[in-house]
Amino acid sequence: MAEEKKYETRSVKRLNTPKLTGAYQKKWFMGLRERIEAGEPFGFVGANTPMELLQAMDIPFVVNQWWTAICAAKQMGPRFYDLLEQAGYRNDICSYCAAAYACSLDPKPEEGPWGGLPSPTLLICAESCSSGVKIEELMTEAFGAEAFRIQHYHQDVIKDNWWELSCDNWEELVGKKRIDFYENELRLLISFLEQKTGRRLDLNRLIETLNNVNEQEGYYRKTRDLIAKTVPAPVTVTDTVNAVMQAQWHRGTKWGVEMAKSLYEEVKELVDKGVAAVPNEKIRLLWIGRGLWFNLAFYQHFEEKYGAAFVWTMYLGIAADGYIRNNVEENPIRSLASRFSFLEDILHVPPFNSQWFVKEAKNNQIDGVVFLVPENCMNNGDFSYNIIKSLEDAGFPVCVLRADPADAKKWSQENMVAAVEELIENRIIPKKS
Amino acid sequence: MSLSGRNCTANSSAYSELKWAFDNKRKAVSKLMESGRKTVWMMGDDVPEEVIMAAGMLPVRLCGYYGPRPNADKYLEISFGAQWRGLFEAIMNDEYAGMMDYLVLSNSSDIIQKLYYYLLELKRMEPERRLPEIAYVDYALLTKDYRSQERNWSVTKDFIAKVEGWCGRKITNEELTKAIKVCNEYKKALRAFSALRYGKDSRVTGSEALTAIAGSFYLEKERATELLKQLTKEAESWPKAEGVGVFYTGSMQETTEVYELMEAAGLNVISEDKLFGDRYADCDADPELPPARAIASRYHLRFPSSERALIKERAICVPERIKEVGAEGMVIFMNHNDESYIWDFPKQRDALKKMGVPALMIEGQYYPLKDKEELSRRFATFARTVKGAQK
Ligand code: SF4
Ligand code: SF4
Repeated sequence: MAEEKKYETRSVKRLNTPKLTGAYQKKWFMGLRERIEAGEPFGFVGANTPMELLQAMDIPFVVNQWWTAICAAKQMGPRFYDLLEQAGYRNDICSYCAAAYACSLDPKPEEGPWGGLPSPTLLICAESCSSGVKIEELMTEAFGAEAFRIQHYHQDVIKDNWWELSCDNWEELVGKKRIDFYENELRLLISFLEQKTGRRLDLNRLIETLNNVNEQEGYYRKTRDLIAKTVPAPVTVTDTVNAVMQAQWHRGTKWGVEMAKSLYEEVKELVDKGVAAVPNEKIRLLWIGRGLWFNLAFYQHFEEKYGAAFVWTMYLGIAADGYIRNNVEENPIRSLASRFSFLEDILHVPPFNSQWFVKEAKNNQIDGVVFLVPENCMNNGDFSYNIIKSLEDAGFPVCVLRADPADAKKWSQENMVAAVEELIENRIIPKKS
Repeated sequence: MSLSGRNCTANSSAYSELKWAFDNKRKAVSKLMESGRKTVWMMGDDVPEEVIMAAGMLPVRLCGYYGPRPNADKYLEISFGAQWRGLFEAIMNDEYAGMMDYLVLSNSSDIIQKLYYYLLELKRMEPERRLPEIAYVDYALLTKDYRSQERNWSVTKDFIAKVEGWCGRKITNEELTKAIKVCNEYKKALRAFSALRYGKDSRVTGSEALTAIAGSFYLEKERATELLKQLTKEAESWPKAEGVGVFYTGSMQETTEVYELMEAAGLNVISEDKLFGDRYADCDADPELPPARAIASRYHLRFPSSERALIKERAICVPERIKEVGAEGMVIFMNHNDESYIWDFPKQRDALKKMGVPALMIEGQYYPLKDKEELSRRFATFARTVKGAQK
């Protein structure tokens, strides 16, 4: 059983857009069951897979890692991880990727978030870590679904300042060989989807979807830039993470564009009115790592005491820099291939990750960085030594939290607060005064 | 039997030479380098050494460093298990300083891919370290479909071109075919030797086998082949190796420590699906095929590894292999954070149960081993369980 919570886990909400996205997401999810019962296909996909294809083919889908976030936010992590243990696995590894598989083991699946996860008919995953591949295989079997596994090709072109190339010069950034390879994978995936669902991919529709994505991500870019240059910040990460993640899930739809626009407009309005999220803002923090979904209030913990605001996470950051690919008309499939063959590198491959974090820390006028390193992910390797060194060399002190971002049971609020307070009191405040 | 070994091995000159190479890898490599060939070090199970040999270069198998690992502790996250830390340390410390001309990593585990990126970046960040030139062989290993096969052809061709760049000339098909034949001959000798490990009348202990097989990596292939043939002849009349014969999988053992603990507790590893062991020799390159394709197929068609295979496939292959070698139990031994095998286990255990073969899974291990007594106890209990299961 999960321990009684001794700390506040709900965040204070300041914007309307997250309410809209949250409500829509829930409604969409509720409608999903009906669609599936009516015989529609249902995809379950990794966050690093080209869900734009499913979007363009009108195949409803749920994103694995984001489903984990919902389970965590509903404080259901511990229940699911115990189910894994009962089935002969372990309750303390791979929590970020195994929540949905755990759901499939639940004797009362309807007690899951929003009535539980319906059984997917299709699984799309990227060949990533050995555990991830195995978990996906177990899920495929448990759900009785059909799976397509996208192969990757490693990156051997190392370019500085990738964000300067990604929108227009992505061929140069990603490298011909790698994009060729991924493009071929996408073509196989499209055939798989057409065959399994009886639907067809209309390229006109794909182009429209991809253009919508560019527009949506363009708003995120404006929002990110606005937050970056505004001191005190109009919003913090608790205001933006859900709004961004939920709309990213529906990336490429008109609704996604609308929500991104609405987020931007709300933030802009706050800036115009001179409203600050933390009126006594003295310190700006950057969060590296997966979101702390079961405890978003953690980010707000330091606002009152220190005037310390978390203004940056990767969710808005990647949306702003990682997705835009211009000139999709030329070869929509290839532009999609360039997005997804590179997306993971932004976070996991040096120096793409370290250079980007430093750039974002500078642009966002950051005073310090909190870096969550998941203890129970065997595939965790972003060369964090290099990230920390690059940030510290550039003048940004870093504190590392070792924790599980999905399982509330293992979170030690006291230790984590102490670590961040240590950063603020001993490394940020003395430097500022 | 003791840690100092059996008389039969002590009296064998072939075994002694192999053991010398195993115990003195640095010296053994230095000796090979006297020929003036450039060294190409290999990390990961799937670097096509045939290509390196055909280029007149020296393929050297990287073995982890078993001593203090300050570089690994400094640069690597805790998600890198003990074996990976050892390999990284061996590149970063002085053990092989000045002996590495090139380093090739293969896509045999996601962790190796990470190490590839780390090393590339370290080369940029710390040029004073003089890390060797680094390359990556990105074979598709998870599935054996045409898509993977086609990719592996192209990866092999790219690797040949890369090595040609290093040696400054074209590599001919004749050279490749010759290297294939030398390697096939060598693997055949290894298989004949390993056959003496199998079944109830195993003549070789797991630690002896590991010593001989891994020792042979650090000798000229032709010399290693000769020694293995000689050893096989001798070992036929060695006394039976004690202990319950088990199949080993999980984290690779590069030293004999764990195998010896198992032997002292009444178990004997008679086969494993690991490169330092049986898996190295399990598949030949077909000398009748055009050489680049033959080489690609050798790596493509090998016994599925625990890191790059589907649960379904291993749930069939591993029990089959266990039957083939006549193992009475299976031991899965995993270093901390090298535990993806957990996801395979329930299915495999169930398949083995039907065959009456018990399995022992050990998790969370470190280097140096943290609690040898506890490990010994678990091995001994398992040995009794296996014996009990046979009654
Ligand atoms: S090792 Fe990490 S990335 Fe891989 S499945 Fe587990 S949690 Fe996910
Ligand atoms: S196996 Fe027999 S002969 Fe060989 S060392 Fe042991 S006791 Fe002596």
